[in-house]
Amino acid sequence: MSVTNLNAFEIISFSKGFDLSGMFIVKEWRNEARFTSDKSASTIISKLEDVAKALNLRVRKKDNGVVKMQGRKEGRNGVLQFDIEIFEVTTSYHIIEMKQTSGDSLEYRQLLEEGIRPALKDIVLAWHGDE
Amino acid sequence: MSCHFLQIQKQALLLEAKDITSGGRRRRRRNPEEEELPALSCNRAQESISSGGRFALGFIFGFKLLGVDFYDGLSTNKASGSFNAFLESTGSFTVNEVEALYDLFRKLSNSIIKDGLIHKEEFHLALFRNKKTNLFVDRVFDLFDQKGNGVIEFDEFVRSLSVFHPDAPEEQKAGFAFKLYDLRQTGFIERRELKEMVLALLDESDLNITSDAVEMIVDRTFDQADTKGDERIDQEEWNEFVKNNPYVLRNMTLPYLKDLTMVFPSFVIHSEVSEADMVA
Repeated sequence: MSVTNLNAFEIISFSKGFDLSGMFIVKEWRNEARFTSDKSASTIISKLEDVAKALNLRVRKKDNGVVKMQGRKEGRNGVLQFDIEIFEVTTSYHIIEMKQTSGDSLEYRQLLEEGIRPALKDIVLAWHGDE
Repeated sequence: MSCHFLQIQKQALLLEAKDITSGGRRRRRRNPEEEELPALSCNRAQESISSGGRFALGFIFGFKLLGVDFYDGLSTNKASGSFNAFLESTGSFTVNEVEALYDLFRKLSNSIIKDGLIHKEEFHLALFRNKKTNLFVDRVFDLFDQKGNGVIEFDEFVRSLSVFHPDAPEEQKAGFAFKLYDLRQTGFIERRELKEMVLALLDESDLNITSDAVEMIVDRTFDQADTKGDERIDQEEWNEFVKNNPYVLRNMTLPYLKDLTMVFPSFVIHSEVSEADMVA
């Protein structure tokens, strides 16, 4: 899993103030999630791999530094799939984005709330959208 | 029903919904040789109650009723085709989507001050669910407020949002972002403005980085963009920088805009006319 370095303008683009999607969709209905971490890239990566194993998700690395996670069983609307991307602000500050790419939205949000979020507690500074 | 209100041009033209997205869902024109933008037909409105006329009327009267002086010019007869001109200027939205946006606008613009205009606090509330101030929200608000009168009106709302549509051209997004980041509106992005924004982002995220680290981040980026080396980034340097770093514009696209009527299915259900009805 590789890490994308952010330039200053890219860093700024992560501001909540630029995120107009709040006008269109409530947090609970989104199929993308973002959190910040003050851990090193390798710590984050190994934590994500542990979580994947615990939740029985298959991990596949794509070329552009994006990691694809996939459920092993067919769900209500096909196999659950989501992408994870790690962005580096500094070596001890990262932004991690998770975006669902296929499968049932409700199942994904359930997995996120009940499986992924609790498991990542140690490495998460804050989830984007939580006030 | 008064024809006077709708009589914009001498000849009766047809209201036509034009979808100008790259999807190319163009509709038949009744008069193909009439290339000019159609205005509203008085006759049509009176006769064909079940189709486009009713929508057009509802649209206009709805606006007037809510006190949104959208069609200033209709009464003076100068705004021939102003409705379609508006649709044209909104870029990538269809009529149904504009309708959906109008419902959203109505909700936002009456959330605190019930005047059908989006004030800054209402804008903050829409994004943050609280009224906390934020440098970036302020910049976005100011850019949406094209007329600079302190409120966002519906046409400003739709036009500005169209820049965020996935199909909007990159140049438009780059131009909007440049103005966003030009905090003091000097026509350039200065190094200290970039630093100010990075600090604002870090502050917003409760993140503590050393000032050395901030300097390094800012300088590295700024020096990359400021190819002329004159301590400021002009539009030309910005366009080049954005071309080489497409991620910079990631906040300039809202995927939800592509499926607006999906995001707000209630608007389609309650919509008085489907797009198929709009064809003569």
